[in-house]
Amino acid sequence: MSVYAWGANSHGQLSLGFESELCMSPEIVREYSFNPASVRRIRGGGGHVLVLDANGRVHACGWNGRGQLGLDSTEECFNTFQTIPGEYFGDVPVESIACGWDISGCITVTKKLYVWGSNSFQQLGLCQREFNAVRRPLPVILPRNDKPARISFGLRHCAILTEDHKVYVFGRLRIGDEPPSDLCITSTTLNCAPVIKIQTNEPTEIHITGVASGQNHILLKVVDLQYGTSAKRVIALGDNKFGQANSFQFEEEIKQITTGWTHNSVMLKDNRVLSWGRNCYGQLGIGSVTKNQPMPQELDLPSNIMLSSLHMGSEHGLLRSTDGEVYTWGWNEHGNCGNDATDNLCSPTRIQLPGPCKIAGTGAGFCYAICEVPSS
Amino acid sequence: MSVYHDEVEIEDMEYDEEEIYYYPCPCGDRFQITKEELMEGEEVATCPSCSLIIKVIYDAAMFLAEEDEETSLNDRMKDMQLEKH
Repeated sequence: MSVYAWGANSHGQLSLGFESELCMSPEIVREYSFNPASVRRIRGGGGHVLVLDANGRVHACGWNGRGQLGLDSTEECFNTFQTIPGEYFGDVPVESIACGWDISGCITVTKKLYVWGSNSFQQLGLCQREFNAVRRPLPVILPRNDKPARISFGLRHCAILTEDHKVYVFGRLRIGDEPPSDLCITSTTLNCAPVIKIQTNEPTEIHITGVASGQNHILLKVVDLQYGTSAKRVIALGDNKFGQANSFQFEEEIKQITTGWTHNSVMLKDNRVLSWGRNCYGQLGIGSVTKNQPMPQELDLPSNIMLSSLHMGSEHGLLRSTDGEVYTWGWNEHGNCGNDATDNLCSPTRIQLPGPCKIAGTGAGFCYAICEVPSS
Repeated sequence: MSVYHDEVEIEDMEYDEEEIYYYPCPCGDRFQITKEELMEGEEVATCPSCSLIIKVIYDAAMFLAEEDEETSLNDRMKDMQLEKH
């Protein structure tokens, strides 16, 4: 197994041992603190990346200006991977990870929530007077001791989905005055910091089962229990300058929801990807560059590709097929798409990798792929 | 496609002690503009790593007025300190 990375590297987030503005094609990463074959997840933030391995250990690389690598260090950047000491998580394995602009978080197998990085907008759920940034993972106890199920970070907010289908939002997220009628949105506080609580009006009929964060909006995956247990609806809240906070009902089950900074994509069970929001750099991958798309449009893909996972950068996208092929599209100024060019791509384009990709991940302006490479 | 990647209100930018206003750029770096540039009427913040630019929305007159107030306040403080001496 080999690790490849490409795109923006201004903070050394590609773990190549140096910082650079652009990297147009997949570069082999030689320095890492994990076993590539055991990587379960890769998540990227503005200029940093987290890797979760099968032992529940978390590895971090890139920008650390606000302590977002969780290494308890004041170094500005780490241009190769470092392991976050397991003792920071009470020696309990980590189950899921998330990254935002200058913030990170995880949930352990015992359902303990940790966050670290910038708290300038109280997005760690802490009063700002005490902490502007937290450089070591900080345990957070949710109101009423609710158990976290998933985290997502936007530019200045942190959204936490609980096991009982509520969402808590820390930090700055402007939700319009007229929230969707299905939701009940209330304000509360945690550690003297303001918190928004989002829940459905009919908890026995509607469940929130997923959350993804854009720059200044969030996307919720919703199950209408009267029609079964599969999620077919999304509700979006927040900034809607580009149509990114429009909500939709789909005919098919939603397998995955993802968000760029100002656009959204859903992968449906019928092997289609639908996207809406901003498209000025081709970030919707619909075959043309247009201004905004307020309605879901289909990703321009050849029909014989079976989709496995979808990942969004700020203004670019990456799709991995079940065969391990990788397709990218969108903003490409820093080689974000890895196709050995810097022109924006408005359609998914297959990129050249030495072997089938097993795990992929994206950050704001970059991508990672772990590939199976025949041993020589 | 407009020239500007985005238009951002000055209140939404982060300010540091070196008198520079920052806003996140999608490349992972940050758009920046100095207080001095803003006072000279410049409204375009640039990213040192890429070609994207943003327009800073601010009221130049109010910005200058606040600045004047601060300067005169500082001057008055100085005068007071001098008087004390």
